[in-house]
Amino acid sequence: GAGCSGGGSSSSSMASCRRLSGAGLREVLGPAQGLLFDCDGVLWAGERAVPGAPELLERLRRSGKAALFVSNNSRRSVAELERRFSRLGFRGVRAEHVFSSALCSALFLRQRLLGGGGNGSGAGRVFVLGGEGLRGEVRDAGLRLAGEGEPAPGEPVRAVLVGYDDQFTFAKLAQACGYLRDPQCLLVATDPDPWHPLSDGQRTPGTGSLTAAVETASGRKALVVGKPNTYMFDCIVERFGVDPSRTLMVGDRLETDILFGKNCGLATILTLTGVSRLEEAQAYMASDSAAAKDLVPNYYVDSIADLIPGLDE
Amino acid sequence: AALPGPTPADWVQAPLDPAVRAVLVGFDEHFSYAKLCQALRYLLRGGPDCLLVGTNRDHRLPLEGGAGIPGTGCLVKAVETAAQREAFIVGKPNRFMFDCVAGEFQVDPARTIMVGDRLDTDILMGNACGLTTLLTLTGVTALDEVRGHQDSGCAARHSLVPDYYVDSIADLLPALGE
Repeated sequence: GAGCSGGGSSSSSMASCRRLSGAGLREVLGPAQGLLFDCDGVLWAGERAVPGAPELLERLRRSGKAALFVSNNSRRSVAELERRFSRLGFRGVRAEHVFSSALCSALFLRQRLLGGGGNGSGAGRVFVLGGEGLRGEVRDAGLRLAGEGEPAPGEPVRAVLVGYDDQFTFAKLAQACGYLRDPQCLLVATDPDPWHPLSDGQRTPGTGSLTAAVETASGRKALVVGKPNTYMFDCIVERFGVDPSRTLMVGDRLETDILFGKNCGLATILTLTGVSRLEEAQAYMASDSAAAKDLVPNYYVDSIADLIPGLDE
Repeated sequence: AALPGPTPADWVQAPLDPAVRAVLVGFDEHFSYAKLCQALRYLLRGGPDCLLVGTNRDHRLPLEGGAGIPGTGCLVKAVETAAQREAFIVGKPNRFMFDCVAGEFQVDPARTIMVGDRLDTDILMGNACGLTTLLTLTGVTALDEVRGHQDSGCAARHSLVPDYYVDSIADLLPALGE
């Protein structure tokens, strides 16, 4: 995929994981034109908004700063996410502001299978391992799903898309492998997340674990659309023309959100209301490994509500 | 036991069996996300006190005509990825099964031949256990795969190279007496 522009945080030195507060907060937020937010663990946890998060978005809007949303969660369509924002008390967030891995996977497949346009005939079908939200995004992108409608006889399956699939079975795994015997058939995954937290501290397996099964069975490596890969940022830039040097990435998961920010040339803020603990960031900072350094955020806050004092009244 | 409700949010409310001390992943044509979810719950509850064991890592079971079905290795990988830990694999190429055989019977590795069709399981285990290794070509491996390992500069790949090969185990018959 396209590379990402540098700028923003220095790419040669390691970020230093500084708590963002007081004067530092104003210095960082002042020049920013916009913020990219992960959703789960940042804006809300389960069915509960993070206290102060809706107010933060409101204050960003009043300050003239953009707020866009980039989520690895492939369960929901962006239309469903727009309703979720509203239901949880966030005002003014429209579907066009929301970049989910479901949407971006569909856009990616549209690019690869339909090219620059056309009516899709001969583009082939997509076999989707995932729920109705993901399937809908693929359909909305103009693609046909395997096993649906009136497939043309012998119309080949040109892509297998692995997403969050709580109805995943051995039979579907076998079916996916059958399609992947054709080297022309793409293997795409919505995101690499190995698990997701549930509100009571338990975990549910993520797309990454299902993708590992498909990769092992097929001998193929998946193209992963979601964070920390940069494709979703390309989608954002294409739609909104964001300047990475004036944009901050806010997330809760070091291995996806913070690395994504680093890969896209964005300064990063870790919020502690989600998956990653401060100790983990500090351990990466102390590590000798070059790869670990890229997982260290520039800044951290206990919650995104802590950003509010950095904005003008 | 049946899981309450249709969604993961329901499944994680089901009580866990307090006696479970190991998750064992074998070939399971009824593998599902729900089972993966339960496996993850036991592994998180038990931490290092709950074993994670896989029967083998074969990624594919070949069928006639070049088709195949996913092997146990795929299911093991799914659990390992979700739990972010590595399984203990009992099957070849791990020497555990050879040790079981050698413990039951008087097996002298120097006078024992391992016969198999797969380099990264059968032959690798045989070589690691000091057996003479014999590859048969009636299964998954073609000879040029072996040549590739032989010609590589890599010690790890050399351990996949058998001492001998036959087109089929029937070729051994002439060497045996009346």
